[in-house]
Amino acid sequence: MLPRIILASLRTRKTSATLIVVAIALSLVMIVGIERLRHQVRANFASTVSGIDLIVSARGGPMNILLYSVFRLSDPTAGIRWQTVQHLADHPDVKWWIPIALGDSHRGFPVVATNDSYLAHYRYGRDRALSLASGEWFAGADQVVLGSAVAQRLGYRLGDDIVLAHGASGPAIIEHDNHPFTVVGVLAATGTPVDQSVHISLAGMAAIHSGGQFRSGLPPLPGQRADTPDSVNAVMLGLQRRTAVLSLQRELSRYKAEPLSAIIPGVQLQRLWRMTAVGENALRATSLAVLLVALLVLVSTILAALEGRRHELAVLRAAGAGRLAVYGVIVGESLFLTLIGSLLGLTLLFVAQWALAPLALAEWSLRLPDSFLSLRELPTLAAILLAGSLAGMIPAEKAFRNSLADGLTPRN
Amino acid sequence: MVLELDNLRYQHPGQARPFIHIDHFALQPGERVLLHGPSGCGKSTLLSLVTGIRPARQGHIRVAGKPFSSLSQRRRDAFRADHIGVIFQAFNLLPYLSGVENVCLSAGFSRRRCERAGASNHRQRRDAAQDLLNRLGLDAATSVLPAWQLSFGQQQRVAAARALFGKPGLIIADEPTSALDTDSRDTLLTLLCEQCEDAGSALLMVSHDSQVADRFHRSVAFSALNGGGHHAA
Repeated sequence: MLPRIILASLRTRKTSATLIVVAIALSLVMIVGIERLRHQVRANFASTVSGIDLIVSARGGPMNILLYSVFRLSDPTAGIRWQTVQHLADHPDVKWWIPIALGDSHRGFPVVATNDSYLAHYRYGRDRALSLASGEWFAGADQVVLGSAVAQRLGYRLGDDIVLAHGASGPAIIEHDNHPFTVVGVLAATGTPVDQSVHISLAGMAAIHSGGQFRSGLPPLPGQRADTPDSVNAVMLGLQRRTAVLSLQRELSRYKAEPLSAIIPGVQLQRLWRMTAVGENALRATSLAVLLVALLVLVSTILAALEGRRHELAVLRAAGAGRLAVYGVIVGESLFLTLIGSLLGLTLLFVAQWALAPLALAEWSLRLPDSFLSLRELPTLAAILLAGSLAGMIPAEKAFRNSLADGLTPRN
Repeated sequence: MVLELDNLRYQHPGQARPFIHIDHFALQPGERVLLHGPSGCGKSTLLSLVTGIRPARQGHIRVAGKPFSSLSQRRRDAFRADHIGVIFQAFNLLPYLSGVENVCLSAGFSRRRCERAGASNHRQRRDAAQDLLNRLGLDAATSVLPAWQLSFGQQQRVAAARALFGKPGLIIADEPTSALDTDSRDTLLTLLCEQCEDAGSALLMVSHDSQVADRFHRSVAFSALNGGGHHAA
């Protein structure tokens, strides 16, 4: 009977009920949306470095090394010599190695010079290997493999020629226009910075910076090998045994030939999250404030309606309704509005995720969640519903007191 | 005795002298009593005390032999649901519920009234409510309309049906006819008295209008009953 009374009574106050529902829905979109985004960004970052045990680079700040080598978010440090790379490759603890040479770009997308190990050993997400959506991995120094977002944004197809520019981003100042590259492959989307990268061989990078023209078949300059560069910026390592990570890290930090830094990506990510926690907490506090405002709107709207509902409550009291039933009607109403608002919010979020997913993947290589509600969010939802019911207690108590003061008949 | 008041006193907060001061008053089972007096004299306050919505701090009220006034608020509410039917002067109904649903409100708060109405499930309750409405002159088509669409006379009959549902021992009516014209007033009173007789319910009706006294077993002036130091407002 109470549900019928709540619904029928709300139907006479449609406008204010709708506004409350919308306010609660929007605050839920903020709270759950921010939390999902935060979680997803972390998952994306973790996914990007999931297979890498160590990243070796010239000595520098560990955070900077992580950000430039994997996420292309910062400027590369100086290179490490090819002999050092060779030393790493031959080290007994090392299972696989991926050289990374940076510094060029193509229309704002970073160019990554690497070798076949990249395709063979780089892992993202839960041990997923890279795969080609079309074409094949580069074999020659004049071939390029595009990340999925690059191919999509710039509309390139296999066989297109592109020109790389010196410098990391922005409108290029110097173009390596005497060395056009041919697109031979496009990688499948991964939701990592790989999608935003342009991949060439180390030989290709060496060629465009040596001034030699590999297409014309001229021999390389004296003292320069055409197939390898002088140096690379970083080397990603996969180890035979993960337990060897710390000892190898120590060993490399004492490397004699040149000063090196070896970082454990997972550890740096944890540091990064500790650094960003302040900002995240500020966002969370903001969304909590929005929820609080929505709940205050709920309380004040129900309170304001009570004056007009005195007769309604007197009728219920006369028919035998006690405190429990009066609370049932008022708290039931606020719980119902909170529930509908929450469901509306979750639906809005779900639709937004669905609509924005392709854009987020193409623009930021961010995979949006595709869930309506995850187990992890249940406590948040429960807390919102609880807050909605508690908010209803205030007008409920007032309604009950009114009914005592009014006695049998409220004054008009 | 279905209702017994002993040495009942009530004063509003901040008042020096009791507003209500009744030494003794009693109602036999099935007895119909008219309590008349000018408006504002404290009749409504008395009814709030008798129905237990307002707590009586001094004196005794017994309903169906039970020391009603010394029960907790919660048990008074439950007791009222079981044993007392209430009809107001106006605004008796939840406007957004149908006539039948309004009558069923009584059933929703009291299992005993459902039992006495012989209605154990939802359908039987509706049937019993409709039956009662029929006897009060409302047909099925009218009874399912939302209450706000009913005429005032029809609304009061729905209110009477709600009060009578499940044959409570005591019906309390607070000026139920004061907003009706003479014809409607007579119809409603006839029907109400008939149904009280049928149900065996006692009726305590408060009115400023003593012309209707001939339908009651007894007629009592409120001023004679309220023997305390009351001054009319």
